[in-house]
Amino acid sequence: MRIGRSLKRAKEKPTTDGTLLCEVSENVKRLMKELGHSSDLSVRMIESPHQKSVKAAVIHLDGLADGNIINENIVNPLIQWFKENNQTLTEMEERASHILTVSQVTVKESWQEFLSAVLTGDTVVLLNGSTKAFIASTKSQPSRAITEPTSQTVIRGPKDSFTENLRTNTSLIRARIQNPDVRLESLKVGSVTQTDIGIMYIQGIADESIVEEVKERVKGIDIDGVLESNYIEELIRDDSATIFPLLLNTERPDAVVGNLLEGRVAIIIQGTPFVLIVPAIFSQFFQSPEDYYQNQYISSFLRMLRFGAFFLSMYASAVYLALVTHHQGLIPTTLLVSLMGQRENVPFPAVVEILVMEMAFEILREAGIRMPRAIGPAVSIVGALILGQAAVEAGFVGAAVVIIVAISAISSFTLPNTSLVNVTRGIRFMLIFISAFIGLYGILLFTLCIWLHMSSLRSIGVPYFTPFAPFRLKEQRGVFFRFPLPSLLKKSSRK
Amino acid sequence: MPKIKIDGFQLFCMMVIFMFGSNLLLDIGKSAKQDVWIVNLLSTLIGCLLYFMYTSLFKKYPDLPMTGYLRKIWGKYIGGAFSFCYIIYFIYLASRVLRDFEELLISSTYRRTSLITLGICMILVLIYGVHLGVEAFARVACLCFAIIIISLLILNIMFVLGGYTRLENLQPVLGNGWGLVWKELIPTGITVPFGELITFTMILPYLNKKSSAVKVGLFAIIIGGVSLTLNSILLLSVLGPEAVLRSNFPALTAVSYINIADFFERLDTFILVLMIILGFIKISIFFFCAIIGAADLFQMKPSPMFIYLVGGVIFISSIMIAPSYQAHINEGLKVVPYLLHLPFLIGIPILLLLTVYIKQKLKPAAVS
Amino acid sequence: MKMNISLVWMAAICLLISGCSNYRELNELGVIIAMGVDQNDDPKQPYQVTYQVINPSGLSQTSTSGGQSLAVINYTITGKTILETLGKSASVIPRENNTTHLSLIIIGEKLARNNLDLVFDGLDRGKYSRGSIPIFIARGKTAKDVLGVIEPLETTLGKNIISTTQNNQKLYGSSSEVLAYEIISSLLSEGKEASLPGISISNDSQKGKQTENLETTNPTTIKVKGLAIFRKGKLVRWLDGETARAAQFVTSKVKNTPVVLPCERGNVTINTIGVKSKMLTAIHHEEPVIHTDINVMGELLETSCEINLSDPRVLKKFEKKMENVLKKQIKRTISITQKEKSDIFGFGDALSRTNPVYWRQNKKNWDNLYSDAQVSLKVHVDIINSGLRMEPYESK
Repeated sequence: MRIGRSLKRAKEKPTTDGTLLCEVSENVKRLMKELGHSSDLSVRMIESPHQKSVKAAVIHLDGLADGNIINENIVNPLIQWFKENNQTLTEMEERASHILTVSQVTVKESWQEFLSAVLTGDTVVLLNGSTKAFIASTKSQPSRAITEPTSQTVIRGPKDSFTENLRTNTSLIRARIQNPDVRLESLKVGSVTQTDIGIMYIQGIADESIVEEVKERVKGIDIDGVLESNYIEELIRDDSATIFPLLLNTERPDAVVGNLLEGRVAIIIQGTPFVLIVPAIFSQFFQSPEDYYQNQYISSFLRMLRFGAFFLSMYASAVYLALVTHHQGLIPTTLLVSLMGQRENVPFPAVVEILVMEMAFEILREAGIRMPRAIGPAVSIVGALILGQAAVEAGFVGAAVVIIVAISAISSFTLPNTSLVNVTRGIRFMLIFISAFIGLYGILLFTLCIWLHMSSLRSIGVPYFTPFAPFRLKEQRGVFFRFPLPSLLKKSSRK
Repeated sequence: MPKIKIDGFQLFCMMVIFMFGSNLLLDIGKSAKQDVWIVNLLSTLIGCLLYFMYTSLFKKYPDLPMTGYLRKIWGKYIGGAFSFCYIIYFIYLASRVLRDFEELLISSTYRRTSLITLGICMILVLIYGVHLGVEAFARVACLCFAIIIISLLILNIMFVLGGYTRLENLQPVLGNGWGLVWKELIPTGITVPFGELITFTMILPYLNKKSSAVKVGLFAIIIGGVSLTLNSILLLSVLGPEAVLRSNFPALTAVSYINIADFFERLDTFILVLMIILGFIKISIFFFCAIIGAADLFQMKPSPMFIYLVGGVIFISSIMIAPSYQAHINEGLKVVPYLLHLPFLIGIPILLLLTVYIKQKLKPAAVS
Repeated sequence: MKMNISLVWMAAICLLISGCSNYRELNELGVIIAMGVDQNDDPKQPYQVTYQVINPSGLSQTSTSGGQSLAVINYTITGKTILETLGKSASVIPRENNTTHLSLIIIGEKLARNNLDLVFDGLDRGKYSRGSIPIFIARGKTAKDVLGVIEPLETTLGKNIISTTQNNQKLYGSSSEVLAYEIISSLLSEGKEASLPGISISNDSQKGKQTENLETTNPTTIKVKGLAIFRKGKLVRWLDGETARAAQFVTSKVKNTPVVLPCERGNVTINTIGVKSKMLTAIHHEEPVIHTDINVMGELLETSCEINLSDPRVLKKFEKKMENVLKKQIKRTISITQKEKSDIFGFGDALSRTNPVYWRQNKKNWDNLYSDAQVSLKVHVDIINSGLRMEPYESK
């Protein structure tokens, strides 16, 4: 939907090439024409009081550039300068960059660069008679303040999160690693949006070949626009036919820094607070940065708990269904008797019961995300209490089913990463269907399929399912347990 | 050969699971009564010898599967014909194991479901696995290995803690003399599962470190053989020789005895899990061998259509192979070992090895 | 990619075609939890089987229906074989029968006296239930009568019988649970005869079969009574009380049981807290000698005579006394079984392990050999403490 077909035409138009012209007004006219006389384009012409032919144009896009800087550091000095003396063009060209009192001035001659400078919010000063454009960096994109993370929260740990602004994001990371080896490489992706993308890694720790591979893949992207990190994720991942997230995304600067230190590469995209981390392996999705901010034993326990919860959220309803419909012999007798008692008055088959409850939960969840904040509490009360309690009392579903569905739903939320939560939802439904047909046998076969599938996946060339498959016992310890920092430090120093 | 590689540990896992395969559940050699474990132990030793033979062939042609060097050694036509026989043989074995496995499911939990349904479900997963290739499969095999070891440990701990083991069931050792032991050992004991390791001659070319093939393989055989021996000792001590003999699936029967504190009971699920995993791995390996062999013989890439075709053949023959379980088992114990296993697993490899040595003797310069 | 999609389609189609052949809803199931097998008078249909089926609405707490209904319902069917009656049961039980939760089998005494051998084959084949089901003999009653008792304390009769037996086994030890696979193996074995615990009805009255039984403090209940010993699959004799317990001593199935010893003016009660026995059959001059070695640990719990318990010699004296009492009891039990030619302890099996050659020659004749065999008994008792008091209190 976002990749508009109509915009494709813009790409087909002959590209604006060539260099700037000598005549300022010609350049301005051309610019006006190319931008379609856009109303936010602001052009300030400054003429020398001494000489009519000496003039300059200060060009910027209103709103993208910082007005104060333009007034104080560009327009004002230029007017003063013009007033002061009478100079030749060559002198002016030489001195112009000294006059502009902004942090960064670059001189470009190509039209394309001039145009993109204007579009990114820089201010361009054109001198009459010169083919050079003086690009003063005055970018001041509208951005919101740094807030607490909303989707990946912690109790103890840093409370800042990324914003939509690429620069803010890189600065949040830079502020945490003050090391000359941190590399940030910028690329532009999106033939229309020209979105800035930063690839960040630490030289010497990150694997060169992976950095190269990431750059190659990002460069190879051919798309009109990039609005969110998922655009990049889908376009650079190794396998498109999978529901598993092959790239890790996070909105936490500390998580990014932690991963950079482990030698991974971060992809930061202008316009979204979600930063991608590659290569990602499956077990990473179970790790929260908070694991390192609290006691190791608690963290280890929580990690294992998350694995347990992950399985529970996928398998609970399917296994329940398999037991009550196919393998009644495997239920302990007393439990069976109480389940039978519950089911006595339920009119629907067990599959329908489970599916209805799961769907009801999905609806609630979707409603909870989309609805306006103000009515949230009302819906959750209706959802949780009325649907659960009343459905049981009315004899629509058995109490056990409500418990099972609730457990599988709640446990999926222990996962630190939402992409994995979506995986559990997908697999859960598939398992329920299979379980209804052939019970545990089907569940196991499907599990084997998932394993096979996961083993065949790769994230930027790294086997996704390591260290389970390929099986590496030594590395597995780190998956389930969080080791005390001293031992972790030793490991990295050895490296 | 293709680029995909497996490492030593993966090979180890595959071999051990492969050996566990049907044996863990069917407890082959049970007619030897109290002395099943002796049969297992002896066949492990013979298994090591057989493996030496297979690997000495492999060392001569480290980049070729067995069907490949069959043609190298015996020429295009004779070797090709035998290669083709081997492919058929692998398909046949795959369908036999599939049948074992279907029967086990039917007699444990799925008595109302048809063989066909159970078979189709399995074969689809197998086709998917074979389609993804040896590499992904080898990784899954390691994972399965971990699960098998853990569930076996849990079960065995349950047996011991619950006091179900009666070591006196093992007595008298060799009470019936060596006669029964030999009868069980030859040919069943040595061919299944150790002789069946010939399948790995098809997979060894994928190994990343060719030199480790012998070491890893022997290690796997010894570990697998010892575990099988321990397992048969355990089953015997739980069930007693009579019950083992009468039971179609001793492990299943033994597990149904477990009831600890009225809580750890109905553990048949464990067996179901084990069964599916073991069956999956074992059939997959035969399936892979058939596909690799065919790809090598006809010099083509294994296309999805071809995998479907072989999968379909395995499935259909698993259904048609025998009218009843009794007939199936009878065939497996009385006919197949003599008619198929002995020549294919021992006869042809020995002849191959002899040919190679004679060739070497005849023109030493050319070979070196 | 194409492969994946085609596989998914194939899987879906196959699943749909095969349907849910194994799919059963819980409320379509008649879960049989207990089974009683009796001999029928009609020789054409020799078996009369009572199936006890769970009635879920009688057990569920959530059921809102007003009337109190019973937890179980009995259905009695006659047939040629046991599995035939299971099939026939479909004509009486409105739900599909499910035997996976079968947890109790009661066999009528009449049938047990006649022949037990083939009753268990259907069980042993194992397709319909598990092997670890306890089996009892309805002593002097039919299984149908026993299963008909409405049990006041436990929710279901099966659970009641089993827990009573386990309780008995733990705290008195006259009988112990015998599971189906054990009985099958002893029926098959040439060196061991079967023995099964008996159950009977105490306080028998017509009320026992009606809900009124729940409304009295002195209801009709089930009791565990005696140990049935078999010879070649036929019940031959009942052992009761101490004789039955002595049998459990030999197989070390008893753990805690009070043994009462006489003293000058009263009795001393010694509770065993651990019994370990060893059975051995030796061959002396081509004749088997049965040998049992029993180690008992006990504690003195009650005494009504004046004895000085702080004196170790006194305890030693009681140890000797107890050894003699136990010896006598066990000897009597063994001689009863010898008289009945029923080797319920498995001395034959023990012989087959230690002396397979002799066993192979003589196993056909084992019951005669057993009944003539010499018995050698060794009992060793250790009294390890005497409760919380040293001396008994004395009325002065």
